[in-house]
Amino acid sequence: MIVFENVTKQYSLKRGRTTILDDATFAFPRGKSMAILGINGAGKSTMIRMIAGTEPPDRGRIRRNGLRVSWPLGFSGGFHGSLSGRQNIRFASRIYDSDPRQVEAFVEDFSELGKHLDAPVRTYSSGMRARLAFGLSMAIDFDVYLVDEITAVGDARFKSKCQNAFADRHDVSDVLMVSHSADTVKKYCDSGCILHDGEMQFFETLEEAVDVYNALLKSLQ
Amino acid sequence: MTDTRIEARQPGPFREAIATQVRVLSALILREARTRFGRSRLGYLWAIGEPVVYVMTFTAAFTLLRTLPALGNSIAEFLLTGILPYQVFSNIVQRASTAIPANRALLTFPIVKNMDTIMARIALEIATSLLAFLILFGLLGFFGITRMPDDLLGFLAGIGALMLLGTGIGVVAAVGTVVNSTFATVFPWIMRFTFFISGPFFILDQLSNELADKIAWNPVVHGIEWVRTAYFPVYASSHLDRGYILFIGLAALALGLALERMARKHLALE
Repeated sequence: MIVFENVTKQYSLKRGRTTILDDATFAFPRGKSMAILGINGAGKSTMIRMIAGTEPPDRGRIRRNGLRVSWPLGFSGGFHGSLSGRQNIRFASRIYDSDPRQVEAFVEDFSELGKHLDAPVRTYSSGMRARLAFGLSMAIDFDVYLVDEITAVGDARFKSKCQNAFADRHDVSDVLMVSHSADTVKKYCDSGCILHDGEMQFFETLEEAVDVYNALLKSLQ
Repeated sequence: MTDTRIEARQPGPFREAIATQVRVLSALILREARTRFGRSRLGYLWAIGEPVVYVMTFTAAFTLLRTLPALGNSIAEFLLTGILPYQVFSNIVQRASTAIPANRALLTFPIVKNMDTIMARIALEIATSLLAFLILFGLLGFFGITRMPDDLLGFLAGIGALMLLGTGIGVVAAVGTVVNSTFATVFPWIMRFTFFISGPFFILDQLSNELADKIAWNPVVHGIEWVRTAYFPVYASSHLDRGYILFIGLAALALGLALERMARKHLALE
């Protein structure tokens, strides 16, 4: 499981600082796919970057205990524009110690990019990039998939394909998904927590989390 | 909560970390080579062409000025033994100094750290410039402009020292240019200036003692003196301090690594 130990994290904005976590200790248990709900500005993206390890906490420790944690899915920043999709895939499978041929075959099938896979990524539309990024992350075996708000990526058919891909791995991989909308997480998660005012509050079921979150939203309006 | 599936995959955290490091670095070097030389072979050609252009320009200028070489048979030979080693040093620094902004997108992959991108660039640059150096030296040797260095081991050691110095200063520059905009503006000018006080055009022993003592503070000049004493058996530099360049190289590397550690949070937020 992924453990946060006495983690403090603040975010500097032009006016003052926002506290995302204040000396917080908690754990994301294995075997559960969890939604991390939070209003805009609560620090959800920072949270996911901290779990991924791309952003260090101000104080405290985050332990991944040897789990293979994905990069935050949902945006596709890691590609090199002048390299082809295939070359980018090979790079990612190399650094994550996966068999490049297997990964390539999976992405080829999943992304449906066809001959575009050999064209430079800079020629891709944003939808094509997203398909490549999503296919790639699904092709590499991660223990935990971090998802930063699955938004309007692709058409309905592609979305259901993504859902199925996650469902296929449900037994071996967990999903941690941040979102400000309770509706989107229902398809992927079975439990939830709320990030608010520097604290993480955990709930047994997703329904409970969503109820409390909706009440919170209402109280803020 | 125990999870045997995960335990089984780990051959020990230390070995795992080393294996990951090696994998990431080699993948980065491959990627770097592909993006730099992939689209055209011009990149390779330029690695050899650039020093040739330099040497030709300065040889022409010095010949017009009727200057005699401080060492060796020709101006070209003297300049080559200074400009080529200098280029090895400065190319490493230059490539390293832009490593972080050039690879920002890579930080999407949490497994890739800023220091990896810097080190991958340095490694590729060392390999490229060493190869260009050898090809060029061999080629010019064929035409009789250069010859086998008198003390080959010393010659290579001098170049190695410049590589170490380039690595150390390169890491400092890579972090410095990202965290401090004044540094980013001033640094390239300092590098340009050091070209003239690093000895491609002179040897320390031909200067007045007073001036030589001042210029000897510049660690780069020791690398070039090192190379030249090994190449020209007649030259025994009285100012060369091999320990000095090695010490500055290691100190700069330590400083660069420390800076990166301190600036890590800042770099992540960029």
